[in-house]
Amino acid sequence: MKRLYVIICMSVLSLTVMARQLSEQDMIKAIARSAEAVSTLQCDIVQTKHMRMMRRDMVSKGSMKYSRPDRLRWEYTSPYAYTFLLNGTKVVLCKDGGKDVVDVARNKMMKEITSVMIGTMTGTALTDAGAFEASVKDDGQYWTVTLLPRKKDLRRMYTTILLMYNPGTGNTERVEMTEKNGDRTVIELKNIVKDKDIDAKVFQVD
Amino acid sequence: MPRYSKWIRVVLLVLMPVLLPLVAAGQGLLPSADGQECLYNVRIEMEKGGMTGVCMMLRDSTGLHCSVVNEFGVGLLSFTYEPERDKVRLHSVFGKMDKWYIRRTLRRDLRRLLHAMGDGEATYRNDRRGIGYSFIPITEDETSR
Repeated sequence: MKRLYVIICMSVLSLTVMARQLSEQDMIKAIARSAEAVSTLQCDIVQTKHMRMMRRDMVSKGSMKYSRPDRLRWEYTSPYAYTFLLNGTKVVLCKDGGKDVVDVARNKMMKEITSVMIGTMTGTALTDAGAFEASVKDDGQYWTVTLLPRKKDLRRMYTTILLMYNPGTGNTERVEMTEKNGDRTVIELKNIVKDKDIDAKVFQVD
Repeated sequence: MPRYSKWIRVVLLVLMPVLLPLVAAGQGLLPSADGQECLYNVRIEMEKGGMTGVCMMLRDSTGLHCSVVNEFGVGLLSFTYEPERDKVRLHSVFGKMDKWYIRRTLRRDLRRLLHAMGDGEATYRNDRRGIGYSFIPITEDETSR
């Protein structure tokens, strides 16, 4: 009798585990589908850098514009003016009136940064198994995606990346990136507008 | 000696209004008061490339604490400067810069840069290694909470 009881408990437990796994898979599929459906994305960004050495956080504000598959304009307006522009394999960095053009194909670090930026903002990082080990849990309001970097260059920068995905709106609304030393960068995406035409001039590299 | 101490005190009292501004001026571009934090636009140029970012610098009773991040918030460099010992202690250095010979150069250069900033200069150049440092103060119209 006791043996039967144990067998039944084990069966129920394994079914529960399987159900949880399926549920996580469903969430991953839903996020991936939502990400693939996005043709353009525009939003305001508020970036908060928490440094353990400092008494207060560093808050930067700006905006982001993305057009599938490989055009991104990431702009900070406060407290510094800085623009990151990606168009295909070319990246332009504008700061202090100067301009640097980088070929992403030749610059490994830049390539990793751009893939993280696009992947985390749009949610496509979730299905990039070569770059991240991903898991998802339902926290009520958000589905929290935990991404553990697999690639060495990315692991040097971050130990964990969290995406807060709002299943109600179908948007990633918050990204948290934690570094080895415990410092953390939180990026909040606000006033998100999807699939609206964006003037191509916005992504012009030259 | 005790009979002169009264006159020494008088001389110091008279000179204080002159000396204090000079001491404060020695802070140059650095945070001047305990608990003060300043932000800087950072550019580090090397022969084979360079990097830009932002530095947050905090002064407290032990010295200056500095954290340099790139514009996306990725930590590049963090260090502490102890003015009493005139010494820079590196806490973290990003990725490929984290080599003992680079750290040694960085410690030396950052110390000299801080001296220059104390004199009101925002830049320092290590001509031997061809490395240029620029820490330009950001006026805080809208920064941290």
